[in-house]
Amino acid sequence: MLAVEIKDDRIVNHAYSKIIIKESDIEQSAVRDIGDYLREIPNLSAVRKGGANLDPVIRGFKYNQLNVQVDNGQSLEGGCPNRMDPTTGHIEAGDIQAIEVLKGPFALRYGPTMGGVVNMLTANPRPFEKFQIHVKATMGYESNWNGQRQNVTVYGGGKKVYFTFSGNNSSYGNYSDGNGDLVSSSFTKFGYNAKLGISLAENHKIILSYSEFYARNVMFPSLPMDERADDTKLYSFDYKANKVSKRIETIDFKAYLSDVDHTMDNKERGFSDTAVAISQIFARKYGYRAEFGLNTNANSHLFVGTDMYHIDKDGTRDKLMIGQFPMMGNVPQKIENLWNQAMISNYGLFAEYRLNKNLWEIVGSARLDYNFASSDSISLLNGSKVDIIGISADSTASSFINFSFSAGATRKLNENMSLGFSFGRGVRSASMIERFIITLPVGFDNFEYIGNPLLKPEVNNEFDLIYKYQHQTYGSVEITGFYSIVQDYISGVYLPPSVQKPLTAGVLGVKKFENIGTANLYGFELSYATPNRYNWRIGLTAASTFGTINEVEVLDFDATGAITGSHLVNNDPLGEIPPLNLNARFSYKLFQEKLTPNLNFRYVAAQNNVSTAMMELTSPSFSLIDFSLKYKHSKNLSIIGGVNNLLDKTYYEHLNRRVLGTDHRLYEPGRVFFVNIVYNI
Amino acid sequence: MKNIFLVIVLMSIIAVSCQKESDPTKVDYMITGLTDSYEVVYLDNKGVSISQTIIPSGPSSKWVQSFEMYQGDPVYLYLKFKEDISSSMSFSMGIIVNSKYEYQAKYYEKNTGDSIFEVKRAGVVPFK
Repeated sequence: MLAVEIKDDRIVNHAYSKIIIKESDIEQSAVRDIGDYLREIPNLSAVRKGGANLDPVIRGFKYNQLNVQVDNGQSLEGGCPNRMDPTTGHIEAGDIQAIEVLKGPFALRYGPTMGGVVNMLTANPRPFEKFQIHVKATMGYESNWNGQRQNVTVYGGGKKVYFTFSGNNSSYGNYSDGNGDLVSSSFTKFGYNAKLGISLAENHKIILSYSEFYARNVMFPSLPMDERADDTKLYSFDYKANKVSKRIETIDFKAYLSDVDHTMDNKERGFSDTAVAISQIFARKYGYRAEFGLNTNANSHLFVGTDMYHIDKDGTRDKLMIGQFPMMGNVPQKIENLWNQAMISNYGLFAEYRLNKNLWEIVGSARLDYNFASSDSISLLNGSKVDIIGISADSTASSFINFSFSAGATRKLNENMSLGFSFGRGVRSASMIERFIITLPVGFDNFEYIGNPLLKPEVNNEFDLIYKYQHQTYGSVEITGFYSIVQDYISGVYLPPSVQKPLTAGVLGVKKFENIGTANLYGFELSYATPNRYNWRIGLTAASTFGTINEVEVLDFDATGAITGSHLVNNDPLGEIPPLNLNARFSYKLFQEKLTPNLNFRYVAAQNNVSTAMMELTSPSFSLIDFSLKYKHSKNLSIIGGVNNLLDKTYYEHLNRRVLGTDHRLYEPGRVFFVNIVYNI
Repeated sequence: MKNIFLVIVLMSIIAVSCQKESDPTKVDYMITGLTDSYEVVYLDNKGVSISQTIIPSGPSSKWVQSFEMYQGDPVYLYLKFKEDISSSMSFSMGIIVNSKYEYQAKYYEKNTGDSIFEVKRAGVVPFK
């Protein structure tokens, strides 16, 4: 078995929603993209802009409101201002052994957290009594996309030195939606990951890790550009110690570096005959995390630690104006800054205390962050060489001290039931895009956006109530309700043309990122599962989120589409909030688990609560049926085959973006047959 | 031994499938039907603008510049000339990709006065 290291928080009954997806669950599906796969979790959805690199959304929180990381602490910064390469897009799905999702601003040991944490765990090397080598190979094929993927992991070693090495490759074509219309969605990804573990002494080990990950020709019909090439390199060093002394239970230290070289262009867009635009962005993130786990007494445990990260980002857009005649014997060329040596640093101190006494389990957590950022000047020269933005380098610097805390208590009501309550205040400083972007259409509305270096941090004050019931005969039920009050919510505010004219053809105007007031998000998750011991299994889930902004400016348009003014609207729905989602899964273990058929029904309600301020489109309801069959030939070989969207429905999720320049949403794939072969020796 | 053999086979499959670079494509810039000298500006296979004055050797001479390029590479051909081509059947300028005209003009786009004519064709090497 491959080893995977899930962070031990010493909490038995969480007073908030924590979900762990294990390797055996991941192997059941055709997982080509992590963001896509995360949509299986109640109240997790994802923004689709193309065939791959879906951007996760937890309970309406998205982008930098989430803390998405790899292997307990390593994170990275994508290159694209339009987030065509979120963190999940830089990790090969085949390398993932488990995924941890912690909803809400409660788990503050993981770094600054506002809306939730996604922790993607890859295989870790582990020691063996005698030197040995094992291999795990996974191969998958999906019809419709004509997509194939392979992942091979070699792992082994001895008592002192041990390793994992995995190589992966995936290549997908365009898929057809339920109508048979082709969606430009192809992509190619490949790479490898190598980890070396060394046991320095009993209970002391280090792990060195290096990964290279490449993506080529990833199509994004919703964006002005496609990803032509992305080269990502991840380095990390881990030191772990257990049972260090009577007082110190664990020491964990991680240092990491993530390097992203991202190239995108518009060469497959119709407007490339006017200007061929190529953007190349270098994004580097490095940091560390150090934590001590302390035994305070028999019933309590304390984690204390410090973490830090630093992000550098620099990149230009090179426009070759091939629609124009030459100037001075040269094809006219414009070079524009997308990022101008922008940087963000964050230093944090954190502590988490857990007390287990009688029927109560109490967890308190706090962190203090010092966040500062700067950039070279945010400027853009027009044809007359006049700077039309004009934010000097001196005016880009900002620094904030952010204090986050959370407290939760769970009480056992009886042998089978518990009730938990959590309150958390999670603070995050504005992202690189929100602070420093230089006039680009980066939102889901049709406006250009300008960064604002002086944005105040966004604060999520959230209450969660969680009820759990577990019975050997009847199964388990979990019901969670949440209410978030987000202060200093960051969104775009319209700038009239007298202040800023748009530079992109076809957009409606320019918006600047501002703190626009208070937003509210609330909803629930419900899940039920029959006990594992039965051959038949039923799993039911339901989840929904609602979100409003207290007061927001809504633009007025005349019949020609020109902006004529604006008015204020109270309690306008927030944009990109997924609608009610219901799921029912049935399975039956036949022939001593050799054969397991699995049937899944999914119903998604229409979303009519849409943001008028962002001119969001409504989306209709849909229902889907998936079927799969798992055949376990032996402990070494399993084959899983199935069909997704069995009825070949034509549908799209509410968070799927519009195809660029149209009001048509990006449809999801029609019927897809898939097969996964998992071989383990 | 069997395991190691299997590992080698599987890793080779992945290594082979990782050779992703596309094959180069032949791109020709071609001008025909001009007898007087003219100026051209074009992009080479490194994306660099090249400006040249061409003196045709005779009525049937043609100017061709060939490159090996890759899918998505920008191509650009600009022509400035003074000759009257209004009754010419042989005038043509364009960009040929894999022996097929991808971008072509049979007439000028702009008359700047003083019988100076300009025409341009541009795009990218198409993706398959």
